[in-house]
Amino acid sequence: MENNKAQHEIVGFVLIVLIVSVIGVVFLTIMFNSNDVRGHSSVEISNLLEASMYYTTSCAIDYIPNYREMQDLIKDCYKGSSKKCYDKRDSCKVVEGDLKNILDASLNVGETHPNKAYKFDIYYSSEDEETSNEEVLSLSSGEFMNCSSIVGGNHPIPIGDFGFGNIYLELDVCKGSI
Amino acid sequence: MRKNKKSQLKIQGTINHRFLDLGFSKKGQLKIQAHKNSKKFLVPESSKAQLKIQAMTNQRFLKLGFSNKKSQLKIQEMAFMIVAVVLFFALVGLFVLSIVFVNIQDEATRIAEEKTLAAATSLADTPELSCIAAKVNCIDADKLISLVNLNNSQYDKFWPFSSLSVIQLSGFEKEEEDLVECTFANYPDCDIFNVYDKKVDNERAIASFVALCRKDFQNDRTYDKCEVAKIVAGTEFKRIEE
Repeated sequence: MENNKAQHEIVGFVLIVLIVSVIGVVFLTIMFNSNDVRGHSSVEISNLLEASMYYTTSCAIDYIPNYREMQDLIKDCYKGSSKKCYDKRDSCKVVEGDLKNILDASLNVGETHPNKAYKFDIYYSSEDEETSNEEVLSLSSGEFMNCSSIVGGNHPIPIGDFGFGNIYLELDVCKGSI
Repeated sequence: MRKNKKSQLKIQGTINHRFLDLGFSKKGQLKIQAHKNSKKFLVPESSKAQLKIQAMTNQRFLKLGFSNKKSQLKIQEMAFMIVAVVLFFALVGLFVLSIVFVNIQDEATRIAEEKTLAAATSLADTPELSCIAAKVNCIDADKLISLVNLNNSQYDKFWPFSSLSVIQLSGFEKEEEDLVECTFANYPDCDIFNVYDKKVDNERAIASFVALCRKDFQNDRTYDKCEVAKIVAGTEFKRIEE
């Protein structure tokens, strides 16, 4: 009887060790898998944002062909509607239209494509931590669901002309399983 | 002698009981007894010594049944413990290895990305391609078209890539076969600048976005027209011989 009891105790101990180990492994696996979906900074995305800031828009100031660069037009858009294009178009509308064309063509978003969706934000941030960020423009395409990973990048535009703070561009891309 | 014989018989009796306990058959017991008697008890010379040996063997027989089970249990216990310890260390090892390999993969991805960035940025910033205006990550399309028309003769050994091409924004959504190759004749209404291609078998393409600027002309004035482009640099993979 004592021998059987001892055997049962040993088997019980081994079972407990096994169960605890399996639970630990499952927990760690879930933990590591959940980390994969977090946003990673991508050089490709940062380069896309940097290159798109040199894009020559169709918005001319004063005369044609004095077309504004994208980064200058974003600054105009942030500063207000006082600066309009030569053809009376709103600078913010031109920024929105041109940036959407660039991002749609560059990222080629779609359910069956490697890039499933993107989110693009332009906001002003002052050096003062107490002041909240001021949104300038927001664009998105596709649905940010079931992403295998999220890659992103950002690019700052200094305000200049004795202004403080920067305008920041942030782009997040949802990668599909393909 | 008589006393000795009596004591021998007693001992034999006890042995018989023990054999019964151990599960030997009666026939077998008798055979063993006869065998023992013929060898030891019928020889009158060293009867005292025989008795001593018998007494010693008796003690062993006494302990054998119980100690066998106990040692079996101990072996079982030890085996279970060894299995548990081995499993535990195996799982700990797997856990440590997974952490190490996750870090290695992250590190490899990071290095590959840095390499892409370095390659693309350095290519865009070389005097052969860079824009005249102080723009980072910018390629001058007018310089690029002159490189395209050199017909693979000079720059394929200058850059450490197996192929080099630049795709304009107009070609981003087109299939590779539909891309219009840039020449002096159709520039700038084209899609791809093929600088050179060594046409290697095993090639991996590294792509990065750049600004592509050129001088344009409108209303009797020139201006810089920039758009987004993709620089695609191919590197040859060396296969390890099996």
